[in-house]
Amino acid sequence: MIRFLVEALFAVVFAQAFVAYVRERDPIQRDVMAVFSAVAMLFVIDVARQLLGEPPAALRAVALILLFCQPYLTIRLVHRVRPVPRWLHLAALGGAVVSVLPVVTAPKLSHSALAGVLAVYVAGELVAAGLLAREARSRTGSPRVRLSIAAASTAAFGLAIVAASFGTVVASLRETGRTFGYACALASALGYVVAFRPSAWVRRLWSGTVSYRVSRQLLEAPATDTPNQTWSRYAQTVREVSGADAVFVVPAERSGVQQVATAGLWRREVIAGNGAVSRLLHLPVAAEVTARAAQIPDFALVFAGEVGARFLTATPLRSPLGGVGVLVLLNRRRALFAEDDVRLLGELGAHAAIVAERGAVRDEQDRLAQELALSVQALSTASQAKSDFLASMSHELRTPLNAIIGFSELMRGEEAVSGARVVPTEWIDHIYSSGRHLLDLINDVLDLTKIEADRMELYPERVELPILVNDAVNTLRPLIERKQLHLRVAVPAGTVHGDRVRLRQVLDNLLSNAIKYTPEGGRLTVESTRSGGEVRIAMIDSGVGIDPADQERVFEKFQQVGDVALHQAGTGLGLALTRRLVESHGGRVEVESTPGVGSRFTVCLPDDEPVEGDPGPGTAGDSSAAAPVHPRQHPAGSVDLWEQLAGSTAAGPAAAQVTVIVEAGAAAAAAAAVGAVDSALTAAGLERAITATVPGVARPRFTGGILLVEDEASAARLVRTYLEGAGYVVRTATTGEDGLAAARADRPDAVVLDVLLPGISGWEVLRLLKQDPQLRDVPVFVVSVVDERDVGLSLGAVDFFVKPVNRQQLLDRVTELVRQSGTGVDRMQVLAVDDDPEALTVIAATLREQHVDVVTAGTGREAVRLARTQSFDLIISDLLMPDVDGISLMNALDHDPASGGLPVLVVTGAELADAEPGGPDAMAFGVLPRSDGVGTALRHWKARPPRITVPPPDGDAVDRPGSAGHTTTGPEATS
Amino acid sequence: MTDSPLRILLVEDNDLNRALVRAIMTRTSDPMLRTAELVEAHNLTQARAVLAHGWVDAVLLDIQLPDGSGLSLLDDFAGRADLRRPAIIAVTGGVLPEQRAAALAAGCDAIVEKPFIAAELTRALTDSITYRQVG
Repeated sequence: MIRFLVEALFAVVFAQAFVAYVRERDPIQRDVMAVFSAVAMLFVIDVARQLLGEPPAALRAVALILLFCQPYLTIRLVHRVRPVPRWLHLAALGGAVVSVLPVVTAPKLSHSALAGVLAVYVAGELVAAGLLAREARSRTGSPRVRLSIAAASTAAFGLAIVAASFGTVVASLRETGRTFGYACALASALGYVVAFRPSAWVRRLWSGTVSYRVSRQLLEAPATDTPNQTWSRYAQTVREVSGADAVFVVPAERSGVQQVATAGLWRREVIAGNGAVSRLLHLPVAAEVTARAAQIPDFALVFAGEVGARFLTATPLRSPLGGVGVLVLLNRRRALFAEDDVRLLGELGAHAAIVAERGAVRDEQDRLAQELALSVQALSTASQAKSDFLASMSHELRTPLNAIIGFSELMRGEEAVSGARVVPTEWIDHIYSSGRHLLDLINDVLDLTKIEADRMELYPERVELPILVNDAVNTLRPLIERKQLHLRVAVPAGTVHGDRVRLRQVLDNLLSNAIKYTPEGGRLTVESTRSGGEVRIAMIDSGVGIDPADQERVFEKFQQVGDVALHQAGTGLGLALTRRLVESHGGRVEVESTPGVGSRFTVCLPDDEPVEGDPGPGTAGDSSAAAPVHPRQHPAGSVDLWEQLAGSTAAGPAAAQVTVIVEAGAAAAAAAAVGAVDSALTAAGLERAITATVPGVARPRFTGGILLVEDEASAARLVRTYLEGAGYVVRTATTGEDGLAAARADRPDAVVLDVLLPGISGWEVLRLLKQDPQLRDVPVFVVSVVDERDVGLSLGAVDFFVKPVNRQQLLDRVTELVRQSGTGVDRMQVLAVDDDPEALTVIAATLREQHVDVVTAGTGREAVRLARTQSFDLIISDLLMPDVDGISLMNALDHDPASGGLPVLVVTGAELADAEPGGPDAMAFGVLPRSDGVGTALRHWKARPPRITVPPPDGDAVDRPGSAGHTTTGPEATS
Repeated sequence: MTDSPLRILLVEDNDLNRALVRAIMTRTSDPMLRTAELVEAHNLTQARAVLAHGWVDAVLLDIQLPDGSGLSLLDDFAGRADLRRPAIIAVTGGVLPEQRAAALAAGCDAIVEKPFIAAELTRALTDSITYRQVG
């Protein structure tokens, strides 16, 4: 009865395993079934015999063969969970064959044969059990338990066979042995079921343990864990309870990129790319890595390779916060896990997700708190800086004010004699210099404030670098000479885009610093280079230098470093302002310095100069303002070219009308471009000279003079002095009404207009001027005590000056605009002749910048043709050309009434031989070698204030080279 | 009041402001001040050197000096008997309330704000010196 019950139970267990296999097609289930198929078959036969009678012998033989194959089948099952050497497979198979042969051939075995077969059988079973036991020891968690059960079951089956055989041999124990054997077989089968296909309750038990361990691990984690640490902890726990060789987790995240947490892997800092999660989740359970390599993301393949995993099981990791991640188990051998066991681990990942989120929130909080602390710190630093600035400002403003008020108050205490007080002269000087200092300070502070409030308005234009630098140098020349500094300027021709006034301010600041901190007899160099899209203007001194620790501090407000005795002169704002001005041009200021050796301040500005032909090598560094100019004396007695051009009264005999300037060594090698630019620079000067002296081309453009509308006598006197000093004719009106009338009566070249006037305001005057079609184009400069630049410019003023007016700025702007105001009709027409097309391009471009209309000719012949058909004010010609040389050109022009009398400016690289009758210098208006020394000298001349007073032309004489020139007051009279 | 002329130390980095104090001293009607010897220091270091070498009756002290705060000069007198200390008058452009408070806390006898006129300076000097001497 018991046997029947056992057999029936066994059949049920087997059937269940069979159904499970059919449903899941798990190879392990198949092998488990194979192992038990023999016993199941025997049991079925036994049951059938009891119910239906003796079954066919063949069926029984098959069952027996299967039974003897069982050790081999068990070894195969073991191979599924751990590798079994090939020889062991073969040995088991051999044992099975050896056992089956006698059973098949001789139905009745001798006892010894039976013992042998039995020994082989039991040995096979024990080997399998041993292998399983060893594997169990190497694993952890539930697999360990399950493999141990499998090992015990295998051993139990061996025992069952032994018991059954024993019952066959010893008749007295037949029933007992058989029953015992049956029971063992049933226990073994049940054990296998638990081991390889646990039933629901077994799994529930296991699930409970797993849940408990996972939750506890996560809850016991330190609160300071980062999200990734939490996920690593989770992966580690999963690895422990599942017995996987390695585990990795791609957490559910909202962002596209996820950091992978790992356990049992070396690589840690891995980021899973987009789509990795879904690719992994599309894999089947226990996917074979090699077969599915194409579907597995690269990083997972790397992980698998690291642990030598052949199987990969992925399960979704659902986060309660939304999103799906993935939990992946990597195994070298087939895992014993059923799919839903792995799924459970995935579900437990929700705990990890919450803990990780907590960590993420805390991290974010920490980050915010830190950010907040930083911004609080920044704010208090800013606030401190503000009050420091305020304190410094108070001190800096009160210091000069103290001298002004203190000394003037002392003056009031001096004895008055008939309405006049006699006071020590130095008191007056002190008041004056303190006043100037105060003004500088206020200007610097206003500029700085404007920049910092982002309200600094720049008026960018193309600025000629050599002119800019030389203007700055010339302004400071008295200081340089007083300290007997050796100055070297190496600024090749070229332009920079920027606000002329502001760039000047930058150079003035840096230069005056360099002068201030350089001892007497020291060296001072200004040089400029272009490279890497930058224009670099460097000011190098051999001064006291700056300690490296202070090199950044010098750019801070009110931070003067180094020798205290040298501080007096500056406002302490110069370098701060300089840096910001350069930065507002998109550039930067660099400082290099060695204490005791000198400093180098470099202004780096973006280089956006349009390409106008290659300036050529060797031009950098050979232009030098300090280089002496050697006017070569003409045998007939000569004067400097510029004096000549200005129509100096010093002009001697007719031949002396022409001056040849050739600098020693300034030969043809001098780069063509430099020469061209230099000559172009003189064109503007020539224009004036021609206007003044050549009746044929004279244009009375400046006769209108400048109209000054200013009610305040002292202010009017000041501006008038400035303008007249520069050679302008100035008319003054004290009311707006008078000013308008004066302008309408005689159109001025420019108007300088005060805002606060007794009658109609300056704004009204400006508006009316701009409405008048005749006067609309007259440039108007507005002058006021308050900065209302925007209003002025919007009403049509060309520029705005805050009182007290800076003389140099006013003159710069007036000169520039009065010169510009010439419209198309008025513009000077120049014919440029050169056989070198590149040189021609440069000449033309530079002249056009000077608001001169240029027609170019590549050959002498063409030039002659053009000169006959068109009217020009000036010809600029190369001396040596292939077809017609400059001299022949001049002769040809001279003999033609259409072109006769045209001034010709000869540009040459060749050193001219002594003048010969009829040579170029006798005819040309001027001869310029292509040499920068002369260029610099010409620029000096150009920088002189123009003399505008023009005597009315006599009309009879044709003022041209060779005839006695008309004279105007030479510039020396004004300087 | 002693018979020997007063010795007054002027600590000021600005040339013109030193010249102003000199001028004020020559023009003052107070004979005590007009006869006083004015010793000038451009910075703290020079001021310390003067103080180390002999007695002065008063110090006219600019606070914002190139080599530090003028108030640090008062630390040198800390621990000395209060009366054996020259009158110290802060002459400063720092007029913010906290700057004034700092000067008084440091032990200045009086504060003269820049810009000042002659009378303000001489009054502060005579008051402080008299206070110290009568004590």
